[in-house]
Amino acid sequence: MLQQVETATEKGTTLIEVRGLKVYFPINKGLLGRPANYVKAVDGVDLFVRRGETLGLVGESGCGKSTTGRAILQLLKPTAGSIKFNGQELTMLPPSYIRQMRAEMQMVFQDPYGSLDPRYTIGQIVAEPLQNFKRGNAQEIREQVADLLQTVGIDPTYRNRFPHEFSGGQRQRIGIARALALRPSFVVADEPVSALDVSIQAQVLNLLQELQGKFGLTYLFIAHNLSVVKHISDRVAVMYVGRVVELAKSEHLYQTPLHPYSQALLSAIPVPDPRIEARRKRIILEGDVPSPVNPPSGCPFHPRCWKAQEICRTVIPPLEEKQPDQYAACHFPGR
Amino acid sequence: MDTKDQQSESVSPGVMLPDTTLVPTILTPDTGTYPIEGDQKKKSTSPLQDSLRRLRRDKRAMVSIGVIVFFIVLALIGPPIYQHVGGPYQSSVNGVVGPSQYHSFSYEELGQNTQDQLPSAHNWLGTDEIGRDILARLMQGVLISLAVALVVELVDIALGVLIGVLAGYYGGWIDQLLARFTDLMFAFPGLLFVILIAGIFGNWADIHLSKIPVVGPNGNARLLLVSLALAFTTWPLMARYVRGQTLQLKEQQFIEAARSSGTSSWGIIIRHIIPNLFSLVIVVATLDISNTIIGEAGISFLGLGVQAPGSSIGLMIAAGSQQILAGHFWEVLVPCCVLAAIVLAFSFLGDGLRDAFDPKSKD
Amino acid sequence: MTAKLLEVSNLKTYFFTRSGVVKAVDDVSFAMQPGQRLGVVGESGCGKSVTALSVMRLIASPPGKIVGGEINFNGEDMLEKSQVELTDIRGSKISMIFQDPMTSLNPVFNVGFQIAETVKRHRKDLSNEQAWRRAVEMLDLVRIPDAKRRAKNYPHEFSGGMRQRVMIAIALVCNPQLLIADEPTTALDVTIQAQVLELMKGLSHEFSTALMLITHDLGVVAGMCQHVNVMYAGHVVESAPVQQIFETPAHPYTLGLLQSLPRLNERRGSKLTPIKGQPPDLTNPPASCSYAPRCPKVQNRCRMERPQLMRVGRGEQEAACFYPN
Repeated sequence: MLQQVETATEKGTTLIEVRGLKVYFPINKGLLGRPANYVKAVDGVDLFVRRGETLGLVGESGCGKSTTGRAILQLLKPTAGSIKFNGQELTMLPPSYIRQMRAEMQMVFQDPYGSLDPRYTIGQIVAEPLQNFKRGNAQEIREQVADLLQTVGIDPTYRNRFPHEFSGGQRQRIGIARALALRPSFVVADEPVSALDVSIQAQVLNLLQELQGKFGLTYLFIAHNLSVVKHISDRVAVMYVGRVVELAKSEHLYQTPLHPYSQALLSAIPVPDPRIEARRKRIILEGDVPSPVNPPSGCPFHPRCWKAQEICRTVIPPLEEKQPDQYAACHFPGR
Repeated sequence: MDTKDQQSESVSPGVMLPDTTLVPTILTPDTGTYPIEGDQKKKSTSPLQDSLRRLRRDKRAMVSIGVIVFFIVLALIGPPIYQHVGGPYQSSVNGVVGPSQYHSFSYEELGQNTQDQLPSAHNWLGTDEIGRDILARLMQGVLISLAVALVVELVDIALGVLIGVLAGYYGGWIDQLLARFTDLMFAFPGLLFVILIAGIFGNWADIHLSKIPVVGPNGNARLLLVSLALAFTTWPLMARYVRGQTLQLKEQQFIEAARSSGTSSWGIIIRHIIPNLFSLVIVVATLDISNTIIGEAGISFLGLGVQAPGSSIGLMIAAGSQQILAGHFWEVLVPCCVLAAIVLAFSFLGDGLRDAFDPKSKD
Repeated sequence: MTAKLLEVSNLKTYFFTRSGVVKAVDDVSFAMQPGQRLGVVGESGCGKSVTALSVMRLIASPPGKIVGGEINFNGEDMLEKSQVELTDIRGSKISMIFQDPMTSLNPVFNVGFQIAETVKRHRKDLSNEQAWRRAVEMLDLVRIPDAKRRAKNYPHEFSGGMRQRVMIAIALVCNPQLLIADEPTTALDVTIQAQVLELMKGLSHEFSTALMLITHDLGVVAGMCQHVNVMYAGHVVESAPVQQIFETPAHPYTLGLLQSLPRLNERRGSKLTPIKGQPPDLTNPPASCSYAPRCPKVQNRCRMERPQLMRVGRGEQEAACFYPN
């Protein structure tokens, strides 16, 4: 398990602390209602996010990153584990308190088309959280909405337009405006640019960075594109089949990845530079990403790992600090 | 469009159409600077307005709407007008009668040349086997059909949406109950059920339901019973459709976003789910009306619905079909054509609505 | 000088819709050599997929129509061919694979059958057993483990990456001269993408199959292709050998794309340089350079005329720009 490394000065600045998070989804309910099997979407995750930083959460499909993000925001109920926001334990809170906490933690969603209700104007969409928390009368809310739209680069005079009249990039901005409406301190961005064209991705990424500086936001940035994640994140957590396998500063992860999976991941990413592409030695993994229904025993990566030994098959490696401020869950980390 | 929208970018052979409806009308520049003046030329349209526009272009649907409106107007203001047209008339049987009588649907005149007449200046659509004016009976019959359809659909929508949404959103025992119940209703022939109800409780309804103010003792009580029975058999299907759509909507990210914004479950249902069910409900209800009208006609045809001296299209067909052997085809032809016209009109309208609301489902 | 495998000249494919005529491909010209790996890059709506479908004559008509230009494959005019001739060509001379293998594979037949079906369609002299054996061979070639047994499996029993390999098997079983791959790995995880791309590159090399790889991912192109066409708003704005595209991009759009990409090896805290503005409206393309509204180097001439592809420098690089880099 993750060891407390925070120094005395850092301790007060941890905003989110996750320990032993498990989210299992039951499937195949038997006759007696007892589930026959589980999808172990998140299978023991530890992480922490410092105030004001961006933690990137990266991994391939089925690794559980989106589920982790949603569990932290209490949009999904964790099966086990602890989630602390500013020292406050969230998993034990009654629903009414959770609702209050929502004002502090918000989400930016992936799908620019599906994340805005097509029947409402964007002004109404952005106003909804403000109305829920009664942040002023109708006039005051309208002003806040105009302000928010302006901040994300949408002309407030378009508040009465409908989502379908905007492009994908603009819709994402509207989604960001909605997420910021309650002035949260923590924002989970779940693949916010994956559905956008490359040239628009850059616009939205810049916007997110700008807003972070302006409002002192803390981000959990979830994505499968490691280049994007590395660009925007201070630290990155790599997930594989429901676990965090490496947690390090962005540059360290790129320069000296410790976990074999991180190395394979980095090696697989196509780099827009033909000279590098021609030269590089690719680590090509065999087989497929395992299903979270039946994760492999021991280290989940062992079936595909070129370094696997007997111990990897039997003992789950804990996430431990292997180098200063670099954690890996591996029995044989490093090159 | 600037999304690489992975689903729509996946191209299947032979089917490739850039989605031009997604061309945005509003422009924003790069981050940080204030936006340039947007494109004001297109008026903002809500999804509903877009759908209505598409509907207007569907000729078959517009004709159907015309037909339906025609019959509604006919049923509502036809009788008062008809009953003022024409002068007093010397009846050999009933003495001097004015149009308010001989143009009403219950006026009978048994005589040599007053029964089974073809259309004339006196009776615009002729008379039936006991001398009643066919046009008057037709208008009354249409009124009955539409009234029944209205009552049935109101109950259908109310019950269907309520139960369907709760079943879809919460699942659990409501969902189980709905599932079992609809299985039951699907297995049991709907019309048979209505016949049973009308047959068993018909008299009871006449006595007790007539006491309800609007209903009155003029045979409408039985009609109300039939309506309720019909509604009972149609709402499970609506509930199933609504449940399916609710399940789909529940997975949309804007629902998750609403939850994340602090909207309560009930708020989500009212604000986000029900408005997005609108198009489905309208289409299903419209198509249901066809079935309902045929159902009511069928029940009355069997003598279990509207009773004489009341009029219903079903009754007219029943009576008229007796006269075929005597060579009087007109009496059965008129109500049949009208029934067909109304039912087809609602069918086509339902199709048109479905295409208007969801053009992607066009075959 | 080898004869060109594919020569597309002034291709125009328009879609006639109620909201106007969408000029999805608006004067596209390029050529491919036998065995060459060409990358076609661009963002959504640039016309890269429509170009490929036009070559295969798979444009749904109505509302689409190839309104102009020429497509010569192996010296033969594709636009003159009848439907029967086209079905002979598709699958055996030119094959295509798409982004989503689940909708390309028939869920009710096992994969062996689907591969064998393609074989039998084009090689009527082969018996069922021979076709089946060939199918198993192909599955082996695309590195599906335990091919003999897995040939009897159905598409849903395979993962995304493996389904894409089955697609590749179907596409290559008749040894086509050209394989068109439209975003073949976009929907796959990055480690699986690496596997599939490596496979495609290897097979293309082994069987001298020309490859037209359509993608929005410049990284993929850098690793896979020898020559690159960059498309924007329905035409090719730059065409060059892969090295030059990345090292000395001539067209401002290419440069803009490269600058807006986050890189793994950049310094921490560097800001991306996005391309300002929005992608163009294809129903009313102006007579000017289509990139003019977004170009940081736009001049008056750009707003009045549309530039054609012109040679830049001394190599094979071409760009449609009056003021290339």
